[in-house]
Amino acid sequence: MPCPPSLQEVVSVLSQAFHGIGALFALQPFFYMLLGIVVGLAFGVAPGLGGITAMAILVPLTYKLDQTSAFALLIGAASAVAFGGSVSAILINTPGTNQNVATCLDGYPMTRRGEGRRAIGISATASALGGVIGAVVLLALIPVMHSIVLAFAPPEYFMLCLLGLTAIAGVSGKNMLKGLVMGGLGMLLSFVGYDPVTGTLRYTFNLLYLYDGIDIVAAVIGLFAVAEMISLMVEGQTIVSKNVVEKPGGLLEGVKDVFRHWWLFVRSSIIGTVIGIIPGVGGGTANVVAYSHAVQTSRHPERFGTGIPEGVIAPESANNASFGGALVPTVAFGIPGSEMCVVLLGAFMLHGLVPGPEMLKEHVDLVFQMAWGVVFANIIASLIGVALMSWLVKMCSVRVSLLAPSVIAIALLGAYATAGSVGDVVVALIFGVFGYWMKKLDYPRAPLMIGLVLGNLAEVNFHLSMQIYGPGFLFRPISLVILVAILVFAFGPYVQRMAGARRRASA
Amino acid sequence: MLQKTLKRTVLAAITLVVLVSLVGAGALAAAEGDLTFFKGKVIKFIVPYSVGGGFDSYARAIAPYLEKYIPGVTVVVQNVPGGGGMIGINSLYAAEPDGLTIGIAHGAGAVINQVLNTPGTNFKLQEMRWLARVTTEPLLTVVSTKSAFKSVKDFETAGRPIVFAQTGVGSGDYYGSLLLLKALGIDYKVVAGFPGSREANLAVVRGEGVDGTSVFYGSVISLIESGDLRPLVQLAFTRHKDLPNVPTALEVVPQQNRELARALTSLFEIKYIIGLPPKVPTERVAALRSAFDKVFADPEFIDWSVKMKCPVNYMNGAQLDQAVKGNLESFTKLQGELKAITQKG
Repeated sequence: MPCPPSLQEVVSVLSQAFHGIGALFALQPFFYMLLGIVVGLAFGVAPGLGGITAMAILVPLTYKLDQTSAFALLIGAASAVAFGGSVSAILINTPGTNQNVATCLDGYPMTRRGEGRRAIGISATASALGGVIGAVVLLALIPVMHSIVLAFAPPEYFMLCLLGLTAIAGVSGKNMLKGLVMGGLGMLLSFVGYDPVTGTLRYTFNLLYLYDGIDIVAAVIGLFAVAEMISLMVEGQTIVSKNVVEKPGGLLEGVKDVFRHWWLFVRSSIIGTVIGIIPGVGGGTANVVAYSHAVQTSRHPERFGTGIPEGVIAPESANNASFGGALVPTVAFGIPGSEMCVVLLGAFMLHGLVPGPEMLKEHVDLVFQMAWGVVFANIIASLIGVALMSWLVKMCSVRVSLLAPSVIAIALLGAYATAGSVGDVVVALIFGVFGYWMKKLDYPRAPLMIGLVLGNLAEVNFHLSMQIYGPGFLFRPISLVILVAILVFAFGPYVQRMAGARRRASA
Repeated sequence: MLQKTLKRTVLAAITLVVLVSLVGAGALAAAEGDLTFFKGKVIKFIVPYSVGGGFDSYARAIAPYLEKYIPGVTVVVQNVPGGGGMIGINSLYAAEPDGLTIGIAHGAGAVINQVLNTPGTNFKLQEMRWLARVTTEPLLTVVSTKSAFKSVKDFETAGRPIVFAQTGVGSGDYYGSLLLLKALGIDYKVVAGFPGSREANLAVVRGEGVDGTSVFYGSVISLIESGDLRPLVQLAFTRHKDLPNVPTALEVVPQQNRELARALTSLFEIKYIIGLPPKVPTERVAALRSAFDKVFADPEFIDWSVKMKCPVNYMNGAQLDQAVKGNLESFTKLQGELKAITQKG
């Protein structure tokens, strides 16, 4: 355990922290941060181009910049993509990045009801403030980063996945059986490809494409965007039907929504940050787990998926918060906390910075600048994003014969662009037709998605936990806390209902 | 008669001059390479992995310098991920042999896949023409600095199997790592299934139930510099300049495993390689090779590699052709050992 810092050290660290703000608002770094934000928003809103691509393109540009400007540029882009991506998820049911898959579930139904601007308002606010929470946690953890990162081992990660999976029941809606079938199918599909432990190929039918498994973004694009467009074409409707009137003041209403559900927002941001801290996964997992959590803790889980603000608040605060969390292992160990941080790590190297204890000692000013960068970039990204993109809502009233082909084209292009693989386009098309039939036969799609995202992560970490710790892994302190939470969420409602029934019976 | 002879002599002389100049020009062209062919054309540079990894960053860094040394050409990096890198190599192998498709590959992994004839292997590396070995990077066996293991010898006295965290089950790196443990004579047990080297490294740092892992130097520099991990042995012919106190595998393996250790070291020397499909016209191969010679001598490119900590260690195409063939031969001999490891899993 690190010994408590002396008063002098605290004062010196605090003064460095505030010095960081000043450095950031010098003309040049601020300009580059704005540039990064605009690039990030654009790469976010375009399906298939995510944060990794944006940053991979920007890193060479930082070659000749000073450190502060270079990281202002990259942090700006990294902070802005998730909000950009939410706009496509909300308006055309196509997740702009892998961080927005869960946002489709409630964001898009809001658009259909004529509340697209409200949903964007929610996303903008939740993203900005979620990002701030992630950064605050980053700042707070700087002295104890080492032990925090080590506290999360495969058992804890497995339990987090399990927590997410239990939400399948919640999002199943009226028909529990159909939901469970779809959740199981999702998990089954997530197992396609190499078995991570034995290296055996599973369900690949000798198709080389399937060796790496089914691409989640491509599947979600099919399941939601393509399926939705097919269904609109069949019904001959627009996304926002003509008799729905867009309510005025929608954006502001969205901002208020976040404060109305303040406690959910805080919890989702913390979930996002924790998942960010776990190496290797970031916003892509965080948004799904936070959405699941929102369903589980809700008093009206059956309303999720129909377009309620909570369904946008949870994923959009978690994905932005995860970036601050992901910076923790990146800075503390040089182990990237998310895919975006892999690229960021490359930029550290380019600028001669070696992450680890040394960086925390000698370049702590830069770490503070980055944390402040995350704070301000998130806020500014939401402001710019709303200004640039809220008019896109109008697009949703365009008649379907024009809209559907364009959206399908954009969605398939997005599926292709993620990895440049034609196989992903085929997956998107198959899932599109499949999703359409699911919708028609009233099978919920959210459980399928949750199973697909978390199934194989849960599997890998279960096997690792068993190999390393044996069944006793359940009783590691953090695991145990999550286990209790799972039991409470899974059985709490029944216990309450039974208790309620007994009280009524006795009364 | 005399006239006729004169005429013949003149004709012969003219023919000779023409021939000599043709041959001379040809020789010159072969040495310099026929770079004019590439003018106004597009070279597709296949990367068998997604954006952002090691192979991708090397390809993207090299592309602009190829454009610099092949006048009028455009180089487009194309990521063709899937099948653990196999789809990309397959599509390079099957590409039009016009010299306009090149690709970077995990040479060591490809050799192992070809020798084991892993399902999905649709290439024959010995038929391909190779252009450049980009870099070498030692494979390290690392343990936590908190552990009692200070050298490979300490593993023997532990009196129990040493637990190693492994990633990428079934990949070339995986088999390579296990062969290294075998060559070192370590009684090992594997915890398999870590999604990547970062997760495996952390498990070793955490020190709970996992003793060590095999990892490439580049993925572990910060953890070694921070004092969390201790490298015990490196797979390289000579000690890496930043790891002067870490013995190479060849220095420490038991006598009977020296051949295996040598083969492994030589295999991982060709991890990052760039090549062409089979049957590309010789003069175009020569042209591209001369361009790669210049790229890897460019001070600006070298500066990039130093700054990004992406070291380069160039081997030219002609030598690489030999190295690839040599490795295929030695691992075909070692097939039995490889198969044994596959079965042990």
